[in-house]
Order: sequence, then structure tokens, then C-alpha cells
Amino acid sequence: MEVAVRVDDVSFQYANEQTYALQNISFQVYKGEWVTIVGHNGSGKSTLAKLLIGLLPPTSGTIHVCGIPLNEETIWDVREQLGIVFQNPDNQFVGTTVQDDVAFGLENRGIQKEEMKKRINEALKKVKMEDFIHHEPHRLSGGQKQRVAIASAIALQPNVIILDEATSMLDPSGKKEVLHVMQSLRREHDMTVISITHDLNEVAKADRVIVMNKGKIVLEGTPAHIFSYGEKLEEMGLDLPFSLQLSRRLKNNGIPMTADHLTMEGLVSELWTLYSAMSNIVTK
Amino acid sequence: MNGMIIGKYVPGDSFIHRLDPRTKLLLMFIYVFIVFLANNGWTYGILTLFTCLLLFLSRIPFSFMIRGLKPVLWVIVFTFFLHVLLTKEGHIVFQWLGIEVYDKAIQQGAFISLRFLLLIVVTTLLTLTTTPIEVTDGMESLLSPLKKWNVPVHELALMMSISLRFIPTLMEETEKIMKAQTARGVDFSSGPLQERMKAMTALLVPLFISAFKRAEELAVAMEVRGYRGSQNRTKWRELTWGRIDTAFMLFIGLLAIALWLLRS
Repeated sequence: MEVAVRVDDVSFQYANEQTYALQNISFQVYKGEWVTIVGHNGSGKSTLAKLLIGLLPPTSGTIHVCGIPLNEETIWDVREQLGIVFQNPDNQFVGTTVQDDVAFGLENRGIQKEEMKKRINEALKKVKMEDFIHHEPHRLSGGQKQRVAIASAIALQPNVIILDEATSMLDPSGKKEVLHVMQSLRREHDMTVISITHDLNEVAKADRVIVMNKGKIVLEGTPAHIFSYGEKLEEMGLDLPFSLQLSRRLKNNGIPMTADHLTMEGLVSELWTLYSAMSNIVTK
Repeated sequence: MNGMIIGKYVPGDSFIHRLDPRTKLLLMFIYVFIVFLANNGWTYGILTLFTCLLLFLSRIPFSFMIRGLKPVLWVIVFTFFLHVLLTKEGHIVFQWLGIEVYDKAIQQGAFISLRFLLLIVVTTLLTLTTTPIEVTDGMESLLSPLKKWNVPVHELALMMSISLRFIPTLMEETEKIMKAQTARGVDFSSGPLQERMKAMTALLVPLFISAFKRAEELAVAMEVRGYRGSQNRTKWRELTWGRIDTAFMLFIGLLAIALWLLRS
């Protein structure tokens, strides 16, 4: 499989600080993969995000994005490969209307007007914001603004999309909106996604999860694998998804659950079938 | 500030709305000069007619305009009385409590306040029919010759459009901070002026800190999307100078000539 992002033995230390914010981090993200990097505050995940987009240079180690080594000379080439959605929906909205915002990145690349028009429409359609093309940002919800931010990123046709805590300031429905859009984008366009979050609820749908704590990678694997370390995750200050917590507690109380459910749907469908199974037993 | 309509955009599709923003900016600029050409009944008549024509073409309701002008009306009235009392030319019309009012003074006062009123109506009309972003684009285009002298026209225009985009955001934030501080016992609305000024620090300090933080995040977001200044940049919003714009400018030229010929 082709490697999209390769991080090799990267360490980082902030000036005037004794401890390393990142210590010997190595991982790879393959093309078309959805990797979630999860960690509590101070785990180093935000520092990692800054390193990936070239805002901070690693103290040691190397980062390659789509085969390009990241350094001061290549920073603009690397950024052309990346589309980034940040945390605050307001502070990344540059344009005065939705279409102006998507156009901003295209203008920077010197793309001609006709092509711009095509790409703006396509990108907004992909995030289902095409009906809001003339709206000003203050007339949009947080989730809608983040969808515009996604459109602005994908209009530039990047190879990798980085979601840097992109849902953390949104209400539950906004979160759902944004994740839903990202998932359908990935299904239809085979995009590589690196999602950085503190929310374990967002982990369930990733292909691979990297758990960070105190500047190190502590766990790596599929969501199911990660969640099998339930207590360890909680010790690191991460909140297990509600469905998982509930299935574990039910099991502890002697209710025969077949699995630890990562999704609400799975849990609900087990619970209602369980109930009818049990009532069958009772009537017999 | 309620009731002020200067600076507010009224969506529409009138003749004036459809004019190129550059035409409207030029109109305003020229109008500021030609308004001083008028110095007698004829010329003021023509100017008033022209202004009414603009107002009619913009389809902005007359009553809306009047309502919006209320806050500046007292300035106009004040100007009128100032002239009436201070100009001492022509015949005395009446005397009262030792105040002498001359006929020329009344005429002068009326003309000056009319001039003032016309200027305000035309500039208000510009902002009512042009979106702020169009104004910015128009300014950028009109000022672009200054690039030769290293004036950062593009950067200034971008700064302006970003400020415009952030006005509602910062307003919202101000309101939020005010509520938060009120809940903590800060009193913004009563007490002596000095106390109230002091209370403002509880509002301004958080507001400034957050604005700087926003600016920094915005700069990062812009950089990541490839912003490197005006070089090799294309423009999404292109202004199109149409035939009606040329015609309109010619019309203003004619107006200026007519005023020049008719002034006494």
C-alpha cells in the first residue's frame, strides 16, 4: 500500500521546557485510510498536528507527506498536499460569504475563474452546503461552518485531510453532521483522513487508531482492539463511548451481552433482541 | 445606534443596485465636488432633482430614507440656524429681541443645509445599494494604480473585507462577554461615568485577548490554504464595467457641465 504520511522517530521540545512534548513518535498513514489520533489534554496530539502542517519544526526526526520531506523549503509544496480543518469554526472562515470562503484558497493558487466556479460548486455539493452559497458566516451554525471549512479544503484537491479537533466546539448534532459528511466523502472519493481528537466517540469508525499519552504512542490498532483496553483508556483521562460503558456494566451485572458495543446502533439492536429472547425464556 | 441606516445594505435589484461599485464610488466622489458648484436656485434645483432621481431609481422607499436621516437631521437644522444668525447680508426681514435676521442669511442657511442633506442622501444611497464587499472590491480596483508606488492595495482591501466579515462575530462575542461579566456582578449600565468606564475594562480586556487569538488562528488557516500575498493570485469576484456604467458616468459629466454653466 502507498504511504501518504510517514512520521519517523519524531521528537519535539518546546523552548523553555524541560520535558519533551513528543518523544520518538513513528507511524505511517496509508492512502485511503482513516486514522484517528486520540489523546487527552497534554498528550501531545495538538503538537503533533502542528508538526504535520509545518507550523513547528520537529526537534529531531523526519516527516514525509506524499513522498515529500517536510522542511522549510518544501513547506508550501507539502501544504498543497494537505487540507486542514481546525477547531474553531469562526476563526477559519476568511470569506464574507460561503462562496468567497471556498474561493479564497483557489484564488491563492491562481486558479482561473471558470475552473473556480466549477470547483466551488462541486465542493459545496459534496458537503451538502450548495443551498447556502450566498450566506454570510454569522447566518450559519457551527456544524455548517465546519462543513464549509471542509469544502474549502477539498476544493484544493488535497491528498490528505487533517481534522484538527474539528468537531470539538460543535454541539452533538453539529458533530454528527461533520463526521457524516467526512465519512461519505471518504467512501465516495477514497480520501486519506487523519483525525485528531480527544473524543473516543469519534474513534469507532476509523480504520486504525493511535492513542497518545504524555508525548508517546501508547496503543495502536483497530477501534475494537483499542477499546479492549477499556480501563487503561479511562486511566489516561479518555471517556469511553456510552454504548461501550453500558455494555460493560451490563455484563458485569450478569446480563449476557455478546460483545462490547462501539456503536449505539449495535447496542440497541442487541438490547431489544435480548429482551425478547429473555421474555421467551420466561414464558416457556 | 438604532435607526441609523448609513452603512446598512438593503438587498435589491434596482438600476442603482446593478451599477458597478466603481461607478457608484466615482459618483460619490464627483458628487462631493459638484455639490459645491451649486450656488443659486437653478443649480440647487437641478441637484435636488438629480438626487431624487437617484433615490427613485434605487427603489429605496422615501420614508425609509427619511427615517434613516433622523439622527443627522438636527445637525442640518443647527447648520441652518447658525447661518441665519451669523450671516449679515441683504435686507433685514425681521428683528426680535435684538436679533436681526437678513433675507440673504435665510437663503444661505437653506442652501447650505440643503447641500449637506443632499450629500448625506447620496452617500447613504451608495451604502444602501452596495454590499460592503463590493465597496471593498471597487476601492481595490480604483486604487490599483497606486501599486506602482508600492502601496499595498490588495492587502488593504483584504484587511477591509476580513474586518467586515468579523464585525458580526465580534459583536456576538461582546454581547457574550457582557452577559458573562454581568453575571459576575459587573454593572455596565448604571453608576457614575467613571465607574462605568472602569467596568468597561472587564469587557475590553477579554475582547481584545480573544480578538488577538482569533487573528492568529485566522492567519494560520489562511497560510495553510496557500495565502502568500497578492502574487500570482486570481480573483473570484470580478467587476464588470457595463454600458450602463459608461452611460451613467457621461450623464454625471453632463450634470457637472450644466451646473458649471448655470451657476452665478
